[in-house]
Amino acid sequence: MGATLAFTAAGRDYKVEDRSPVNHTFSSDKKLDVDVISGSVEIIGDGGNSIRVTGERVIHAADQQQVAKAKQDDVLDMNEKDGTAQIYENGPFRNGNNHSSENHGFHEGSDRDYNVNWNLTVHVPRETALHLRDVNGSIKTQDTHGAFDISAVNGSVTGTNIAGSGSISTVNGPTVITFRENPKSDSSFKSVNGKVDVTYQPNLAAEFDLKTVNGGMFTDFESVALASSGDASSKNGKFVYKSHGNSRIRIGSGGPQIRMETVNGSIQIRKAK
Amino acid sequence: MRISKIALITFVCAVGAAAQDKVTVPISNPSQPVTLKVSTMNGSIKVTAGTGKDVIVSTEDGGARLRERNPRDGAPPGMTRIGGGRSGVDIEEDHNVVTVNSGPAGGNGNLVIETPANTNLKLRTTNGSTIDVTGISGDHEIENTNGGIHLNNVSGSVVAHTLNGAVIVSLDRITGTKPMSFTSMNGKVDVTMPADTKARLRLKSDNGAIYSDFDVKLEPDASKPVVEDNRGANGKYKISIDKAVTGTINGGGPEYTFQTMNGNILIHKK
Repeated sequence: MGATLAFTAAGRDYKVEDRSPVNHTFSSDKKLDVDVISGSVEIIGDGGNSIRVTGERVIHAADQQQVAKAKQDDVLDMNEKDGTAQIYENGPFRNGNNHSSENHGFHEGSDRDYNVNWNLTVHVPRETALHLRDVNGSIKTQDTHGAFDISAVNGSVTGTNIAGSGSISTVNGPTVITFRENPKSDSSFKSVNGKVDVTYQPNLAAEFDLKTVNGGMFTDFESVALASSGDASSKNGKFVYKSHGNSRIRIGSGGPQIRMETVNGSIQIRKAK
Repeated sequence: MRISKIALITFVCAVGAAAQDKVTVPISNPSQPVTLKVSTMNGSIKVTAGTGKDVIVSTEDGGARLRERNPRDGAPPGMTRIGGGRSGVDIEEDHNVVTVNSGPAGGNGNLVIETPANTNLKLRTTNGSTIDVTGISGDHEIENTNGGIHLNNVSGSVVAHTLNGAVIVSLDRITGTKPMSFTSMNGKVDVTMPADTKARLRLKSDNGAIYSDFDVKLEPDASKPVVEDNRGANGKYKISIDKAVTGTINGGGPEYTFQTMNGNILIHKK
């Protein structure tokens, strides 16, 4: 660390780096809500009975003044209410912070010359329900059993040895999940530019709705093809039927509907070894 | 709501990889003829006369190309490709005009369509193995590129063209005085017409013979050699003569063109 080093963040070279630890313990919440703009998020399920946050804030800035400004602008709000623990990155990039179009008051100049990443590791009781959002950064979950609602934009989403049902999506990056226990209710796994690769337990029984534009679809389960689906409607005297362009298959005796979808990438339904 | 219920009668093949979808398209005015326009890329098209008033469109997974593909091609070790899919079609009905399209990524399915017997057909595929039509009356325009065209017991008028494949047409009845055309590049042209058909035939096969059991009255060769003289510009001097033969049957009528480059032309009396 020092003036001779340059840190590249968001395509810019910053001369100053500032790291500071994050530590927080919530009381006994049942649900975790994480909403960050930049940084990696890792959730680990364990036998504990509280949600414990560790990690660090990493600031890269042009100078110490900008570091101070970053610390003032970009904060991690941690709150809890009605059984939900919330971790929320707040700053001038959020609506209602003097920059949104609805606000017609005096606008603070946007001469921000820094970049902030919140790299967080959160240990949770295994059954904790997860609601995770990240724009620039990857999301990992491990050994969790709760329902999940996970969405990233620029980064991968990885689930290792998880259980539960819900939805997982990203835009730029792969979605790779390994289930220790198969989803019991309808679930979806999506990407746009990345593969969607999900490993299920061999006793899998589900119906799959699959779609990729540029990529193959593969499985090592025995599967039965089902009729693909579409929507029929009648408007202005016209009958219109639009195919969903999907493939549907049943594995085992069928069960919850599982949607796996991407645009540029392959789809893989794997059997756990 | 009623329409969507009727329209989404899908059924499922119980075993195997072939899944089939079925969409019933209600017709705005069932007392009037239907126009059916179908466009696909890699699938065959089969049209038959149904007994009902609706058009029923079924798609089958796996055009010829897809079936030939080894399911392990490009698959990660130990995995197989989930076949088919993308066989979805988009369908629209507007004032008795039914348009069926397989999107660019969706052209792998074969289409099987039932339509009322009075339907004008406009069918087009590129790599479908065949376009097969039975028992439909109307004005038909049929186009294939790498595959044959089989029209069985159709009526009305026909324009049928393919590049690589046979054109086999059997006309029960000819209505109106529209010109017709039956053409291929590499394949035979085999057309059966009612015995009393009145027409002027224009026949041309570059590397094949022309046969008919009609009494064709050949017209004297009226075509004049076309002279291309480019000698003034150091070019060549070229005389070309149109090799087409023209003749009339039953006293003559509208012009019917029969043409192929590599294949015979057969014109049968029904």
